[in-house]
Parts: sequence; C-alpha cells; structure tokens
Amino acid sequence: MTLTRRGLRLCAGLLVTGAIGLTGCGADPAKRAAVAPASGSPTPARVFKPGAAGIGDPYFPTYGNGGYDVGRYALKVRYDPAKDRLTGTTTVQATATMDLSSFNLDLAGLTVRSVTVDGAPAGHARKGDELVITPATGLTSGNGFIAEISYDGEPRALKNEVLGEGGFLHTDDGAIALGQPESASTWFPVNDHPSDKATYDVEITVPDGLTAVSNGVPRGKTSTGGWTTWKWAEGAPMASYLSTVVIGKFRLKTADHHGRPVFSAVTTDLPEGAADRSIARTVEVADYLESVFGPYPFDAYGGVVVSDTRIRYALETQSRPVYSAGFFRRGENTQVVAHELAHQWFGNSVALERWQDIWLNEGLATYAEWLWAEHTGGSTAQRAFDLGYARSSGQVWRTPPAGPGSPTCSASRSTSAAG
Amino acid sequence: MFGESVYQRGGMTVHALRVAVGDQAFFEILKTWPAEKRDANATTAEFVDLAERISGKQLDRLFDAWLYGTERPGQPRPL
Ligand SMILES: [Zn+2]
Repeated sequence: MTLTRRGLRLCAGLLVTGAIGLTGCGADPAKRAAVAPASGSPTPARVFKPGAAGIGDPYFPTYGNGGYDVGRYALKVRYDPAKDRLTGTTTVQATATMDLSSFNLDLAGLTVRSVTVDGAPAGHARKGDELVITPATGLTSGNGFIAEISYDGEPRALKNEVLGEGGFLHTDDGAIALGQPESASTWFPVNDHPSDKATYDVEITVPDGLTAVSNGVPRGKTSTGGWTTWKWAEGAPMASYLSTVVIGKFRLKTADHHGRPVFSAVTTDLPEGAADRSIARTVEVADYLESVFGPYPFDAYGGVVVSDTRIRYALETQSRPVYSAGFFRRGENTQVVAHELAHQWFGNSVALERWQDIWLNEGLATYAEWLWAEHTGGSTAQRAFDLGYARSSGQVWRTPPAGPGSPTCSASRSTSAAG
Repeated sequence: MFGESVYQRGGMTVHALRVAVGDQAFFEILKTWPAEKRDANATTAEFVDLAERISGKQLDRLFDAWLYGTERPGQPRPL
C-alpha cells in the first residue's frame, strides 16, 4: 500500500513486541498441531478438538484461525446504502487440517442468522470478533467441508491505528470495504490472514444506478425489481485483506488487454481528469513491470479511485487496486500506480506467510517505483538509493525492516518514545 | 501500513542486493521469485535463500545488516 501523505504512518497498537521469536525461524504452532493428529497411526479412535482462534502469527495473535484451509469463498451480499444494511450469505469451501470438533471464522459485528456445515444445521456462537461453528459431527482431517453462513446487520468499521478506520465504511451513496491488515471480516466471515489464500466468487446486489466493483474478472450484472447484482470472480488464490468491494457512482472504463478484461472506476465526485488519466495508464505500467518481474500474475486489470476523507492511502487489492483521490490532486501520478501494481507480483501473487515479512511487499514495491521513475526518464534507482541513504531519518536506521517489532514504529512507541 | 522503514529501507535493501550481486543476477532474482512462489506464501528466509542460490554469493551479512541491524549499514559494494 501507499499512504497519501508521508509522515502519516502511525504505530500499530496490535503489535506484540519483544521476545516472541520473530526472526522467521520458528515452526508454526498451528501447523504443528494440525499435523500431529493427522499422522496415519493405526489407532482407530480419533480425537476431535476445537480449531485454534488464531493462525499463529506472532504479530497479530488473533488473526486467522487454525485447523482448516479455505479453498474458495462464494459471497452473495446485498447492501442498501439508504439503510446502511447488509444481508449476506457466505459459502466457505475448506479442508480440515486436523480433526475438528469446532472451528472459528473471523467476523466483526453483524448478526449470524444460520449456519450449515455440509448441508446440516450447525451450532454457532460469537466470541468478540470470532464466530465459533460447531458442526453436528466432527470434521475429519484431510476431508473437505462446506460451511454456509447467513448474516445481516449494519456493518461497522474496524479501528486500525495504522490506517484509521478500515473495513466496511458507509459512504454518502454507497460503501467502501478496504483495509490492511484486516477488513474482510467486517463484511463476510473469513479466515482473515494472508497465509490462508482462497479464490473468490462475489455477487453484490445494490440499488439500480450504483456500481459495485470487486476483485478479478467482471462476470456481468443483472437487474430485477430495482436492484442490480454485480458478479465478480477472482480465480487466483487471494489473501483476504486484498479483497474489496466499492459501491457508489463511478465513471467506468472497460477494455481488453492481452485477452484479459480491464475494468476501472473513478468516483463521479471527481471531475474527469488526472485520476482518470493515471488509471488509464494501468496496463502500460503493468506491461513495463511484466518486462522486469515476469508474466502479470492475474486474469484482470483495473483500478478504483475513491474520494473519502477516511481513505488516505492506496491499497493493492488484487487485480484492481483502490486509490485515494488525493494521489491525483496535483496531476497525473503513475508512481502510485507502479507501486500498487508491483504488489500484484510482490505481496499478492507471492503473499506473506507472516506479517513480520511486510518489508518483502513494501521494499519490492518501493523499488518498483524507483525502476518505473527511471524507465520514464525520472531519477534513477541508484539516485533514489543515494538520497535515501544520505537523508533517511535516524528512525529508519534504528528500525530494522524485518527485525523484531519492526513493522511498525513499535520500538519507539512501546519502549522509548524518542527511540 | 506499518512504519517508514519497511518502505524506504526495504527499497534500499533491494538496491543493496542489486549492488552486491550485480545486475544480471539481480534481475534474474526479481523474475524467479514471483515465478517460483506464484500463488503461494513466502518468507524472508526463502527470499534470502533464492538470492544466494541465483547469485552464488553468501548474502547473510548483507541481509543481516539491512534487515535486522539498528544502525545505518555501510555503503553496499559488489561481492
Ligand atoms: Zn505498498
């Protein structure tokens, strides 16, 4: 992602600092637990246990869940902006990685109405932002299962200290569901951690006249009774924080590039101009990056520009980044486009296993900006390095990008304010 | 998200790698990483392993200084 203003980067409050073995060598406790019961010993009795409430990321201990691996989400969501009311059914196709008596999904707010697992009614309970599902019979390690969750309510955003509000945000005439490291759980039940990627089929029903744009390939729209359903398919595995839906009034541009659909949307709150011109260069930037990084990894291209005071950043939502209008206030800006598109390779196709490795995403995306600047006749990558090397603040040198506690300014926050 | 270091120093780390291994190996690393890890998850340790495999150079000191050190690393030099 990229923030519109330098210096806005605050510290994450969720960070666990200190001695939790952050140097990337530790085995994942969730996976260890997952493997043990599955080993094919001849003992007939299986012990079914609850899946873990977190996936085992030391930086964000409650993110994601253990005991299963999602392959596909199918979302059917209706949103009425006038009432700020969302009604959804999410189908989760997953495989148990241990013998499960129950398992968790992440869901923030909203009311769960019913849950089935493999077609049979299942128990469900809420514990904060966790949804605990207890199927009628245990789920055997290695077996697939399908959970279907029906829910509704007024979505609420998550307060993220890094980014401000993330998740499903109600706008004047629609909504924006966006945010890193978490946002998906504000509009659908999800294993909300990048280490469990899945494919997505998304159907969003909104009042006629509004656009509902999401990730991947547009699968058309149908209208009935004053409501329009927009269909989207992301066929490449996607980390949940890269999912998005943006609802509102947009100028749409569609095209075909190398046999893939291009679908871009710029809010009509902006007069046609620099934002439209910048986004229109998406495929040109992607083609350049492809020459450096290898084949573009996804089935679609695009970009979405929103104008909302709560979104002061751009995020590399898969195949279709979302940009704050602020990036284009001073004219055409393809640097931010290069950054977000570079993440399609670095961050999206190659995703994080643990948030502590975030430098892999951001370092390579920053470098892609330098390469793009050089390619387009601006400053060279060497010059960008030299400037950074000479002028970076002491904070940058004190903060190891991959070291314990580093992905935020947690060292300065939690131990010594001035560092 | 996160602090400035992962962006700015992260980008500089990538450039330090380029200087250390030379352009040919560097751009091969940039293409091989997304090819080998396509649609997958990956870690810093795996990136370092790949960079060492392609360049044939020992890079642990370089990455230690750039990714884990708490002061400005020395100017990168060809290894
Ligand atoms: Zn970024």
